Formats: sequence, C-alpha cells, structure tokens
Amino acid sequence: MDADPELRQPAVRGEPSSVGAVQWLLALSLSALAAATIALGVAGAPSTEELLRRAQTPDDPRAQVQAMHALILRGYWEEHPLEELTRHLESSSVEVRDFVTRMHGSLLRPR
Amino acid sequence: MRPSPNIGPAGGAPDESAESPEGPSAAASTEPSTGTRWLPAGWLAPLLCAAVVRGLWLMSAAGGAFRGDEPAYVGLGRAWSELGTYTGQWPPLHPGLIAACVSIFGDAGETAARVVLTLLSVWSCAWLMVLATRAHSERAGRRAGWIAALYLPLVPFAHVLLSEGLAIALLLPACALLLAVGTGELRGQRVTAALLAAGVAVGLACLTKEACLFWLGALSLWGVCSLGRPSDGMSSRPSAAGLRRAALFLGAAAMTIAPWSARASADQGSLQVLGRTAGLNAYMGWNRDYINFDLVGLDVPKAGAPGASLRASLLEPPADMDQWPFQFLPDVAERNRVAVATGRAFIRAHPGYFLRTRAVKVADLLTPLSYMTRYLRMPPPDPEASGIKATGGYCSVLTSRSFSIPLTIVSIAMVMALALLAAYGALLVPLAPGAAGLVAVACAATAPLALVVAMSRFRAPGEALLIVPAAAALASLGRPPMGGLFRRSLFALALGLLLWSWLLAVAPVLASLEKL
Repeated sequence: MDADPELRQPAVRGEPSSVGAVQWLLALSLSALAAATIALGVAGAPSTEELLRRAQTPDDPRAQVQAMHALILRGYWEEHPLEELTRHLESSSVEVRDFVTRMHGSLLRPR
Repeated sequence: MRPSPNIGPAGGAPDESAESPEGPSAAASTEPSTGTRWLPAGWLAPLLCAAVVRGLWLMSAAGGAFRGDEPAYVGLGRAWSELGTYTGQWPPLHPGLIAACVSIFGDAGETAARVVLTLLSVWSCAWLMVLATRAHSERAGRRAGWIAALYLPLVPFAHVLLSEGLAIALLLPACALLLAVGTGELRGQRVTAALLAAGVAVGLACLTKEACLFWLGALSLWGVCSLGRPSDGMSSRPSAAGLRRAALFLGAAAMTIAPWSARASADQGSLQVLGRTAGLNAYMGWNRDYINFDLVGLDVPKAGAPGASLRASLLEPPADMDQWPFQFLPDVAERNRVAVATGRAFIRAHPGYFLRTRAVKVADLLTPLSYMTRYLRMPPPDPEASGIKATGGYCSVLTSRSFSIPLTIVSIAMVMALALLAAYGALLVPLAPGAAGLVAVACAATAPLALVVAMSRFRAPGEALLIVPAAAALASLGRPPMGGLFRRSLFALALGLLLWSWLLAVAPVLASLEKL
C-alpha cells in the first residue's frame, strides 16, 4: 500500500534515485572506516615497554622521537628518576636528545 | 507542507522586488555579467585591493615575531621540519604548513608561511564573494569582496602565524559548497562530490583548530534541515534527503580527522579526537581570575567610563573565592581530565559568579577590539632579545602614533559597522534558502567559546562569514526591510546584545587608545 502522500518525502531537485543510494553507501562506509581507524589507534596503542624499545630503534630517528614523544605524553619520565632519563638519552640518537632539550627541557632539571 | 513565511517559491522572498520578483537567486542570474567564466565582472578590483592591503601589512610583519601563540606554532613547525615527525599536542595542520615552508625555504620559512597565509586570505575573500553571490546577488558578491578586502580587524590573520587564517580559508569554501547544494545549484553526482569536498575541508579545518569541531556539529545540524530542500524550495524542516546528505558530509569530515585521531590516541594510550586544550581553557575560563588576551598589557579602568563600574562589579570575585591551581600531572590526558573536572566543580560551587562573568564573556566575544588593535598597541619586537622574549607587535611605521591611532579607531568602527549590517542583513534582508541558516551556524559555532575563554581571536571564522549578510544589507540599501514581527524582534534582540557588549567594552577601548 502506498504511504500517505502527506508523509512522503518530496523529490529533491534534479537528483536521480540512484544518487541517494550512493550517498548513503558512501556516508556509512566513510563513517565506519573512520570509527575503525580510530578504534585501531586506541586498541593498537603500544605499551610503555614497546615505546622504550622503539625509542632506541637503531637507524630510525623519526621512530625514536615519536616514541619519546609518546612516553612524555604518558608521563613516564616524570614518574621515573632523572638518572634513568639521562642514561636513556646517552644511548639515544642526536635527534632524540635535541627533541627533549628543545621541547621538554624542564624534564632535565633536577626534581 | 508548511511554507516558510519569508521565502518565496523560487527560493527568494516574496517581497524581494528591487533585484527581481523571483528572489535573490533569480536576481543573481538576471544581472548582466561581463566577466570571464573564471572571474566574474567586478571581482578583480576587490581581490587586488585585498592583496595590496594584506601585502602592506605583511611587509610590516616580516622579520618580527608576534606575542601570543605564534612562537609556539613556529617552534612546533620548526621541530617537525628538523625532527621529521610532529611532536605537538595541538592539531597538526597549521604547524604542518610552517614545517613545510621551513623545509623548503629554510631560515626564510616563517616569512614564506606568512606569504602563504596572505594568499590564503585573498582566497578567502574570493569565497566570501561566491557566498554573497549565492546568498543574495552579484551586487552583494562585489560588496562582500570590498568589505573583505578593507576589513582591518581580520587582516592580522593574513600574516600572523596563528591558525585562524588557515581555518577560515578552509571553512568558507566548505560553506559555499554546502550552500550550492542547499539552493539546488548543483545536480546529480556533483552534489555527492560537493558534499565530500565540503566534509574534507571542514575536517581539515578541525585539524587546524580544535574549536572547528563546533562548526562541524553546527553545519551537520544545518545540513539536516537545509541540504534536502524539496523541489519547491520552501521547507526548511529535516528530511530524509537532508539527513543523508548531512551524513555524507559528516562521514567525509570524520574520515579526514580519523588518521590523526588514531595516531594521537596511540601515542597517548587513550582516545584523543583532536587535541587536549580543553583543560587549559577550563583553567583560564572556569576560574576566579579573569583572562582575556585582547586586553594584554592594558590597565582597564574600573570607574570613570560608561559601563566601567558595571563591568568591574560583574567580574569582582567573592572575597572567599580561591583561584584553583593547574596541576601539571605527568600524564597529559589525566592532566586534561582533572583540569576540566576541577573547572566543572568550580562552576557548581559558584553558579552566580559563573553566570555574571559569562555576561562579560559574551561582551568580550562581541567587543569592538580585535587582534589588529592589540598588535597596533604592542611595542615592536626587541632586536636585542631572542626567542619568545623577542616577540611584540608590528615593526616599522605602523607602531608610530600617527598611524596606530587612526588605524585603531577605524578598526573599532569597522567591527561595530559589520555587526550592525550583518544583523540587519541576516534578519531583515531576503537571502537564498539556507543562507540565513549559515549565519546561525556561525553564531552557534562561536557562542560556546563565550562560556569558556572569550576574545576577538576566537570569533574570527564566524566574523568572516558575517561579511556575507553585511554585503547583502549593503546591496539592499534603500529598500524596505522584510520580515514579520518574529524577525524584527530577533533584530531588536541582536541590537540589544550588541549595545550591551559595547557598553561593557567602553573601558577596555579607552584603555586601548590610551596605550597607543
């Protein structure tokens, strides 16, 4: 049975019905993909041990800096003795030392 | 179907007679056009004027560093360029622009980024012309171009390395695309492409400035009501087509934001959508001490000027009220969460103080002051200092009193004139279907900031969009206002709000002028 004409949605200007289906499909796919991407980011967050290992990955200063940044965000170095950070930096790349000195110099002060 | 009282069958207003009996959209198409396909007639002059005005200010800005967040953005961009990865907590797009400029131009990277922002500001002027043409008429489009070119309060965002200029350059084309869909200007798969492009643009704006999430929410709600307008162009009620199109727009924006959210969440070990600025903002806005960066360096009088004592009494904290301290907890997510929770507890403990200070915050958001007046009164950068201590305002002649005083007065007058014209244009001039809703989007996306930290910088994207109804008002000068009692009452309410805001702004404005 046809729906009450009053309740029917009027046609949208110049839009074939297939366009509506494509739009729904795209909207749902993009939303699902976005949710999955973020969920993967949260679920796949590396552990502190993994970050400490990555922070000294040989020959990959970018990964080292990224891991060091994540450790600082999580408050790891503020919860551990300064000596541990100093030792870590001594065995790290120039880029990591530069990053900590430049962006987080307060971490290197005695506490 | 219930016809909208102010919108005619072709999408215009029944009483739009001077341009065309069919309404603003029809009027736009009936005006003679002598321009090329790419540049309509009368557009070149305002765009050239915009480039010249911004170029002059750019010359005065080059070589200096501006006080505020600019040194932090530059530091993040330089670190990104040199370390190869982004290590900031703010959304990454604006530091990314600086990083790209530094990578290409080296020591001249900051100047190159200022030039890019200047070009983007001219691009924004062009999109305002597109918007005003779609919303009202070609005449309004040209007026919008001239207003945008000469409107000094927004000029700092064309060269100061803050994120607003980039955010405006992304939001305006998104609004223009959405309006084209809403007015039925686009057909078939072009609608799908326009919605995807608008979603990506607003997603990128969110990756530029966290507060653009308010724009995303407001535009999505607007889209549900305005993007599925039926063939008679009259209803502005939610529809299935509107819901579908708004969902597509939202999906495209979400997918644009998602990779950054995933990376930030992985770094933090917990969900982070964009940035973690809410905690610091809660500390500054939901606390005892009053913070407004428009007033940096000013000694605002508490008496002796109209509204000064009222402003002072509204901001006066109770004697037994303490400023809650910001706890620098090691974990950034926890630090943010605790600050927001403490701010909420402060509001619950002092609801009266919170409400009366919000009355001042609304006025702060509508203040005639701007970042132009702020930088004009600041001293030039100290060449002897280095780093953040070297920051100041404009160099060269702009800081001399013979320039700074008239420019400050003109800037103040421009904000007031734009606000009045925009209120008139949005409420009493017939606009194309959905265009007045976009003005409501600008207000809705800006208003929440008044609940936290209010200042002129935070209204910049909405302020840019208000040029559209202001241009429509100028293009309709001499014609009787439209609208019934409801619209006229809203206009009276807007006037009352502006007068309230400007009364409370008298003391800061006088303090700003005295500082020159």
